[in-house]
Amino acid sequence: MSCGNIADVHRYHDGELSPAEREAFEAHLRGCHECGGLLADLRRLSAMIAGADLAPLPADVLSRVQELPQKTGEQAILRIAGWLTAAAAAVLVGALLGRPIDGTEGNGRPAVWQTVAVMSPVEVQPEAGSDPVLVAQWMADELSVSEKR
Amino acid sequence: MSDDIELVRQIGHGDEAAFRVLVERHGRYLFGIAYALTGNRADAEDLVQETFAGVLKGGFRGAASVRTWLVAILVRRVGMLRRWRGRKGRDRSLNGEGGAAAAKIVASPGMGGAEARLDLATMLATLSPEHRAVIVLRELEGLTYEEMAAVLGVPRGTVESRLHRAREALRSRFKGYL
Repeated sequence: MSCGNIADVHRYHDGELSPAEREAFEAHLRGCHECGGLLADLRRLSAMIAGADLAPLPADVLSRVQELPQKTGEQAILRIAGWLTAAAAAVLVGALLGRPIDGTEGNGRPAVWQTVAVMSPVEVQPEAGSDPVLVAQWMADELSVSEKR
Repeated sequence: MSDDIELVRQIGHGDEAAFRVLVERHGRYLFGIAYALTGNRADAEDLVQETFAGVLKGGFRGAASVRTWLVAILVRRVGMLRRWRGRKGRDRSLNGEGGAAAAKIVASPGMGGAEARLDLATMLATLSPEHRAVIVLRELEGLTYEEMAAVLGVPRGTVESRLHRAREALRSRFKGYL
């Protein structure tokens, strides 16, 4: 096309010209067969595209898409469970790495968890843990028993 | 029956039935557009799924119709897929399963305008992905140049030049039908 108004033909066709520009272009259009021909083609082309057939949707796609909320919910639950598992594993690893390799507290004494682990159920007296007086009494009793042995 | 905006609102409140209605209403159209943009059925299905997954995340601002919003999400997803494949060096182009051979021309040269019924995928198969996107957004969704620029993340001038070139290519390719 030799006419320099091609861009305006598209803009006019797409409704992108201001009222003043539109008026000026319509005046040009009345005398320019090139622009008139292009505009006619653009109108037919737009009609063809708007009326074009679309590829048919495979039968099972809609139902798969419709299940997305359930899948998304399940994935979210699995993701949270994964995060919690990872967090628990990290805490455990951190706790283990923070302890000396020989299982002591670093002062030669067994770690608290080892003491608890080897204590018999009879020796664990839950009520003693709640009252300092009872704890002191319990410790004194235990020491006296040990000395008698 | 609820309109689309009401459906999107209900979906935002976790209404799965509303989601199913929206998919039923727009799934076929979106698949047709996705296939025309990619030329590949598997990609088109994935893109439709991703588009509706985007609906579950929300973000509809009511500036356009819900269908146009869905198409805008879809077009962005197609661009992301193309860039991702470009970065990965995967040669699986978005020209798909043989392009024009995948769909039939059901009109004869000489039939003009609305009488000529072509398959959209066939029409767009010869265009670049960027040109397909502007044709869909302008010719099917009626977006303005500014709106297209916002969806595609390119300057308005780029949108205009892509649109002109895409139309010129189609005009040349389907001259006999115009």
